[in-house]
Amino acid sequence: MLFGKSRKIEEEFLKAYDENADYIFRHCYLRINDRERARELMQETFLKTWIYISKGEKIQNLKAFLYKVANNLVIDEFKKRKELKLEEITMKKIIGENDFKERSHANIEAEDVIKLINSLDPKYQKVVIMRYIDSLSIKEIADILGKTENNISVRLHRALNQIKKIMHYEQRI
Amino acid sequence: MNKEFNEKIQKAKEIKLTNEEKSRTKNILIALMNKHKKPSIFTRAFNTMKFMLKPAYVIILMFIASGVGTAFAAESSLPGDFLYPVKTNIIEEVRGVFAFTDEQKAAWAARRIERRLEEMKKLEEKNQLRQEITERIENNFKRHEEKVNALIRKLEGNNNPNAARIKTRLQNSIEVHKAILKKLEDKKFEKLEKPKLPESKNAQNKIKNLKKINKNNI
Repeated sequence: MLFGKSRKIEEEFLKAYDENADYIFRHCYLRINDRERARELMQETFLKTWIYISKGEKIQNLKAFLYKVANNLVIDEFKKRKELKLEEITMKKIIGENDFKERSHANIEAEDVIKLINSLDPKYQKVVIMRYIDSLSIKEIADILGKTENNISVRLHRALNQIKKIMHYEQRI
Repeated sequence: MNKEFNEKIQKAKEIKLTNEEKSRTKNILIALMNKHKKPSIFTRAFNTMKFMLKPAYVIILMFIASGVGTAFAAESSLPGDFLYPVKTNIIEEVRGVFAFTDEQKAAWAARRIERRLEEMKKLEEKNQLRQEITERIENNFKRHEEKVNALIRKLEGNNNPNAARIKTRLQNSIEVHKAILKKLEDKKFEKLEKPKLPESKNAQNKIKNLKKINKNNI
């Protein structure tokens, strides 16, 4: 009985991986601009979550939990980069020719949106990705980021205004 | 702007892991899941025990156990014992803290008098009631007696029905106290009246011989 229950949890977790791996990877990729590192962070997100579950801890909303872990890993990644002053190097790497060959057509097409998101204020980047690309509800975003729904709505509104300005400026150029 | 933005969003949504990337991570995940299985109820119980056996907790448990042990040992100590100050200055004072009302305080003070008397009786039975110990108990007794009397007066002032019961209890204690003191005095006199036995063997033999002569004469 006990082993049966444990087996069921494993199956549910692998199912959650199949359903959310792409979302988590995309979320990390759009924020850190490094495909391979984004894949590693996605992997780390699932590994850390499983270790948490294996300790007997309970998770109410697995999807929200995965985003929380991924968000923390992205924040850590930024801290590391800041320390190593690697931001410029990473940007060069993404646009660099060698890396170009490794990426699929879809990813090359998405470069526009990566540039757009990167030109946003950092505090708006994650809410825009979560709301418009990951298709999370405002309530889910508020839960993941530990903010109120009102706060998230305000941030989204300001982010859209900023996007409008950027796109308008690009069209004029 | 909306159309253009939506197009960009749609393109971003096409960002995906390749099948190879996805299955590679899944295999790593399965390997980790086999290594870190969700703990069974037995494992969790074992982990709890391990937590309890951490040095810090062992020290705390030992400390508590030794404290409780000392308190138990002190509770049966008598005046002159090493742990007696623990009994009167710590255990009884702490118990006194939990007496909140005047009635509870009076009852506890009366009980402390009884405890002193019980100690006196025990020492007296063991013939260990030395002068200095008697004096110390006497002082304690007087102190508690004054305290009880003050509390009884307070209770009587508030028309507390239990004042009379505590007063009777105190009277009984005073009677017992007097009886013990009388017994001690009697013992002293007995000692004084007892003739000293001759110390040498020759003298003892002489007495025996005299007793024999007396018997024969009778």
